[in-house]
Amino acid sequence: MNAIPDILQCLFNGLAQGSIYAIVALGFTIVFSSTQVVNFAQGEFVMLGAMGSYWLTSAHLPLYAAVPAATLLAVAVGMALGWVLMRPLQHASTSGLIIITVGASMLLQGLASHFWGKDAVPVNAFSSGDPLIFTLPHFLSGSASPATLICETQKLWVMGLAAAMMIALNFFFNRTMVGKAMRAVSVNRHGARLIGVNVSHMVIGAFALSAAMGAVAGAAIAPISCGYYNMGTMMGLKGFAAAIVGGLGNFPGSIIAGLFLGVLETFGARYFSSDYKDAFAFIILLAVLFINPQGLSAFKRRKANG
Amino acid sequence: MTTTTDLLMVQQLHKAFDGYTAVHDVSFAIQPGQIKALIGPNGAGKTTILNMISGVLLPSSGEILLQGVPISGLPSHRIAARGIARTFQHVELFQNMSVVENVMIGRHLRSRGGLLAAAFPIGYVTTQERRVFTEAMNLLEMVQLADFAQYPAGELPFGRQRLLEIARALATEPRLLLLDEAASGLSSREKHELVALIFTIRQTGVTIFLVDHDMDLVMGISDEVVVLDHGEKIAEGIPAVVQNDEQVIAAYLGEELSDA
Amino acid sequence: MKRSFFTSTLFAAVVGITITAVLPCFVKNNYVLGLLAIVAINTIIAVGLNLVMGYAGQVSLGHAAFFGIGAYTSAILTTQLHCNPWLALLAGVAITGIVALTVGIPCLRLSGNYLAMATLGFGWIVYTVMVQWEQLTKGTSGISDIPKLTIGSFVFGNDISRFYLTWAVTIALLVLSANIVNSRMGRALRALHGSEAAAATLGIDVAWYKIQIFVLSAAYASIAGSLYAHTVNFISPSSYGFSFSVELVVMVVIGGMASVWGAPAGAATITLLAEWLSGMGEKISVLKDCEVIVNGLILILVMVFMPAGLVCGIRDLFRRAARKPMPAVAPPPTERGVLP
Repeated sequence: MNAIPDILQCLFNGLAQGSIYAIVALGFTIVFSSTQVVNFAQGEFVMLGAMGSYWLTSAHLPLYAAVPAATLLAVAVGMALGWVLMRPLQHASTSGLIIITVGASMLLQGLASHFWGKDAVPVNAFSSGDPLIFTLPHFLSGSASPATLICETQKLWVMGLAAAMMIALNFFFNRTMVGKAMRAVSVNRHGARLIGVNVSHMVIGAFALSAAMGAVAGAAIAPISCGYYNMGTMMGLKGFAAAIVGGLGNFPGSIIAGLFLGVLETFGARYFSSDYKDAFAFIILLAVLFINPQGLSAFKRRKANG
Repeated sequence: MTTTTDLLMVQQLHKAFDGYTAVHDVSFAIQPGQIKALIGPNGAGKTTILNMISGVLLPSSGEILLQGVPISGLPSHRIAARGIARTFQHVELFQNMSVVENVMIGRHLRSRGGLLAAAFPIGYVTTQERRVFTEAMNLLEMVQLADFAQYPAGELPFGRQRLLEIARALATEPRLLLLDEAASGLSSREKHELVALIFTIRQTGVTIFLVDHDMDLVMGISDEVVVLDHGEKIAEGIPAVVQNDEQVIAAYLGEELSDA
Repeated sequence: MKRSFFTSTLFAAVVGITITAVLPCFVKNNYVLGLLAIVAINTIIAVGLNLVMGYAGQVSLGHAAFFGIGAYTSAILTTQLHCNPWLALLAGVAITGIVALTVGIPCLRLSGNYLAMATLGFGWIVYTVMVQWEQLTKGTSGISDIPKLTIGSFVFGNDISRFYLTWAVTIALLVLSANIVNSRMGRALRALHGSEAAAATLGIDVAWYKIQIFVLSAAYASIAGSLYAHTVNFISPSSYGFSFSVELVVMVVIGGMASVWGAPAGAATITLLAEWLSGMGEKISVLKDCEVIVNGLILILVMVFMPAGLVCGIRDLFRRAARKPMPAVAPPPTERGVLP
């Protein structure tokens, strides 16, 4: 039995799922670069995008307005979090900052379950229509049947949006003054301040940016996996695993690692066990920590630091 | 393994960070009982060398030998166990603990007892605690800080904090004491006290390796001086010779020769 | 100095034992006694977590999992294999210790973020296993009819005996923890909390101490889990999820992160608060399910304004007010002229 169509299907689904992890990983990376803080509430932005879209569409807002509005809500929350962290950033220990972001995560989850309940909620797909079905050429499919690759349109939306966001980010960080200023802050905060960059604004901006990205990703993935009040924890965990594998602070690494994680998870669910598919991200995380905590960064440049 | 009379030998020590070389093939030796100094303009790589000797940083290449035994690459706590203690440029006291407790921690290597002894403090444990306390108070007497024993370390005036850090380092009974910019930020009276303390420490048999950029102080107390500039050794010898070395003078041109 | 402190631990223990012994004379309500037994169990976990957070300076977001491993090990061994409950408790501690070592060793060498995330993920894994491995754990229906604890022929069957048992264990562990904190090891822990770099240069193996404390705290949680299983005689995965792990962190944050005796205060506050809120939530619909919201707010507010923890922060304020001012710095000595 030729397994190629199956493999291709897993690959497609995995890349779609992985795009979300890549976006969340990028969100972690953006905030970590500018603030040295791992934002444990990162996944909640995804949740806000998903649940917010559901809420606004059930209030009869059309989807094309609901998603941006939900994104704005997430951005507002992100900026508030960044603002709350301003003072602790100066003097708090790592564990103190972790506790604050964990507290924010719980607060958001609690509010979500309070207002929107604990059940999974449906979110509308971005475009209606049947999935695209490709018949695979004979040399790929052999005698397997069905020899098709099913591309659900929402998954195409997910991948398309993720790619668009990455391109936009690249442009932002390399071609705009604001983006370059944010990069300056992540490289050397004092130096950036000396040349006139308003570091506080950049920090809040980093939070806003990662929130926006997370929310869009959430609204995009929710039609596939439903929205539920504690989806943020899982998303955050897997996105963080991807960020670590890619090397915290390493943008291309985060993307590659996120996609890889999504594919691995999908293959694992298909060929090993779907009950434990959530375990794969964690196992990868532990494996990377055991072997080389710098993740893919280690390949990027030789680090001679002790 | 070479038999040698040197206490510490640094051989072609090299440290590069991401394309920037902080220390370039530096070699020197420290004799037992010496007071040796490492000087150089700001950014010369002095603290980096101290960090490599004490295990805080990993050398990119080169060897560090303590009485002939290589120690480069060992973690800090093992190097401490072998008899090297240090102070830090930006005083790293345990702010959350009292003055005497800071010194008591210095006795960690000279006491024993792990989790079980901690949970069930019977027998030697209580007598050990008393001994450690007494030893710590003795060291505080030596640096004239005994009156401040119970106060939080963070509340001491800056000059006293430096002295406390030295007392804490001495508590480990080191063979070699590394002093990183111990005089910086001190008033001239405090510098006098520091100098007296350094001589007292030398009399107890401890070798001292100090990094500083106060030329008067360094030239006044050192037996030998190593001069670093941009990561490279440019001179080594007794103070009188080094002070008149052309390269050394050139390296310091544009820098104040002594700062108060 | 040392002698007076020892008296302090002994004193606190005596006070604790006295209150515990006498309380059931005044409180006859079984529901309250049962609730206080739960407070004791939560205190055990909180004390362990306090050592990790307050001294090793690490955050663990998965301690509910260690609690759960202890509970499930005891439950499974006693219901399916009819093992002696005390042996099952020890087995739970052993298993939890091994798991804690596995998670801790790679993470504790690195910055706190890694351990926090690793414990978060690990907590989820354990929860998933509890739910999915139905053959072993009976999944979401949970394990019931867990036997009660016995010593000889005495059965800890009613609320009063269980109250005494849980608090006896709790006070013993509190005394143990206080001893650790006041020892050479405790000093080393406080040192590495103050400055890891300096502690290392004084001969302290920072990573090894962090691992020891982490494993110890996991063992505490496991003991608590086993006690819990035999006290309420029914367990299910819902008690061992992420929100309980966070609740434990809140207890430590309230109780103060450098105070062993603050742990019971934190555990009592949060346990009783949660109980009160869920009771109110049934009456006033707007308060339904708001324990999570309250916990989140507490974490943010306390860490932003009182990073040492609530009880500790207040205690430090009092201490600073009560302390005599430092003696003036000694007058300048006579001329020494050591420099040429």
